[in-house]
Amino acid sequence: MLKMIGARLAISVPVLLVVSILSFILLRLPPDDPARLRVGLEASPEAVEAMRRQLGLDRPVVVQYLDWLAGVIRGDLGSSYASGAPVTELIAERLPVTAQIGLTAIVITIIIGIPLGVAAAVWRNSVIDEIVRVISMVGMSVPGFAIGIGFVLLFGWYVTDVMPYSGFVRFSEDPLASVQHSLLPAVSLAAAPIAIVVRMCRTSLIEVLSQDYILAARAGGVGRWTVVWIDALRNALLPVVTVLGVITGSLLGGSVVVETVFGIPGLGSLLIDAFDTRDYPVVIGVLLFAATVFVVINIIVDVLYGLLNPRIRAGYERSRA
Amino acid sequence: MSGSPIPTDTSAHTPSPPRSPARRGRPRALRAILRRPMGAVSLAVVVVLLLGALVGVYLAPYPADAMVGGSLEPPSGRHWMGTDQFGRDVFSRFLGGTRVSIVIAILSVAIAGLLGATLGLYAALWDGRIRGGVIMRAMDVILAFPLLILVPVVTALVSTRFGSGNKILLISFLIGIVFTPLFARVARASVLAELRETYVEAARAYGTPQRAVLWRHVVPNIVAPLLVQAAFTVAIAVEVEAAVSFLGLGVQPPDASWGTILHDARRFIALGAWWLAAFPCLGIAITALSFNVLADITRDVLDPRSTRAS
Repeated sequence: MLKMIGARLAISVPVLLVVSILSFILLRLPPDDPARLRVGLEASPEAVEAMRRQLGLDRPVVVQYLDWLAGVIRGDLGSSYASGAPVTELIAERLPVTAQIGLTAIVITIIIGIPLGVAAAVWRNSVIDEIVRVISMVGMSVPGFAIGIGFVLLFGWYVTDVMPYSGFVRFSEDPLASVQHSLLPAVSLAAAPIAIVVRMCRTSLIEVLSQDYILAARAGGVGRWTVVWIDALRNALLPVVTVLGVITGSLLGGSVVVETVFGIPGLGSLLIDAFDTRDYPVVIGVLLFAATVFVVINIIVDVLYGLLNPRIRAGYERSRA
Repeated sequence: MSGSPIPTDTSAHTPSPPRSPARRGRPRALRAILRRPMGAVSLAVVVVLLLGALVGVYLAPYPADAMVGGSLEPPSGRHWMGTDQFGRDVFSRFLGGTRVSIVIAILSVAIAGLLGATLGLYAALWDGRIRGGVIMRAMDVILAFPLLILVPVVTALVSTRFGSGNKILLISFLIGIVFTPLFARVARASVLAELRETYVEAARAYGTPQRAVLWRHVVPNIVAPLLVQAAFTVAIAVEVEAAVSFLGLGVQPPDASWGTILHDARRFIALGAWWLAAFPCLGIAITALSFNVLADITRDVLDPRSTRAS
């Protein structure tokens, strides 16, 4: 098991390194100059040069990168061009907002997705299965931001004063209002994940339900629903857990758009704002953070899968040996 | 067409290898899709969308960029989808948006499909060698970026760097690169599976050159899974392009996609201008839905084992 984690980490470090190098190179392609943007178009060449020196942009790109990388190893992502605040601080400030919405979305996905998947599997090829199939197809096809726009229209114009449709309140300030504010964005974000979980859960449960030990349990007098919820679901959830992990890793991308729809000050809007002002250290910091979260979650998913499924673990160790 | 007779004495004359089992039955697959009601409907919608992308702009009642009415008029006989804050006809803009959105989706998937299939093919041929590993690790790097972060950032970056030019081509290319790993993985897995088939071994045993084995036997058999992947990916591409343009980082004026229309309208949605939001969102959803359903049914038809009955 440790070997497997080690192997996965060993692969992911070069992946993240390449990600960082690529972002760095892309951001430093001419001719757009963050220094000129800081001092204004009217400024003298000397002033631009001074700003470039101040931002460290006068050095060769390789030196800039290595300097930045040395900082990353120490846990320092550099400072914002705009405010001078450390990038790590900016990320830490915005992260709870995005994380809260993402977590709510995952909870909603589980609460809605798994029962729907179970219903579709138990009553497969029935009307219920057909309805669930249509719901998941629609959920897969309507993008989260479109659902969000629908919410803004509904609660901003037609049914006012029921649900907050814009802005955010931090959990530490007012827990109830905070949960309320994160509900609509979370539902928008959860639409596609629900569809995926429903399908995964259905396929996987159908397979488990057709196995001998389920038949044996039923023959032995265990009730239908006890078998489904206790005996079958435990094994059927294995691939669902994997898929939930992958979804968690990709939520950050979806939340960029959803945060914009609802005007929420999270990581996504930090990235977009930093981008608009060419605040490159912030852009790279958020990108690297997102990629790291994604890679780490994928490793956790693999490890979890191995822990839950001894066959994989054994197979992996044999192939390593 | 039951294949050439297997020569009993291979040393006597040039062997004629057995035919690949793939190519028979392609028209049958299309017929099987059409036989299902949802298959026929989704295929019809896809055809209408493609036609709309081709000729829709010529049917527009007004120029897409002209002020032809009052500001924020709801849908009426004169303006079927109402007008936006500048008094532009939303229906005309919608038709233009259809072209841009669909062209970007199809073009990006074509780029991703060709690039991904080629890379996947080589990764499979070089399986176990460093070259093959490098290809798949490069795919991992692309996948390590969350989709909706990579596309807007790179689009905006590259377009600010390299000036105006044709943004539609650029965005298609970038979305194409982002989707390349999806195709590379499918292609690699299919090729590896195919290379293990007995008929491929037979063809090789007859001394068929590698290139001929690939083109005549392997490639025809990986087309089906790649096409299914392509249909799914068109659905994602439409959504991704819309999301990126909605953020204001994708298609830029004077071009407008469905996402751009939503971007322009974003401040007026909570003010009750439902027509500004509804029609582009419907366009995106219907496109994604029809391609998803089509892909789903095609997969079912092509692979009897993955039928719903399980």
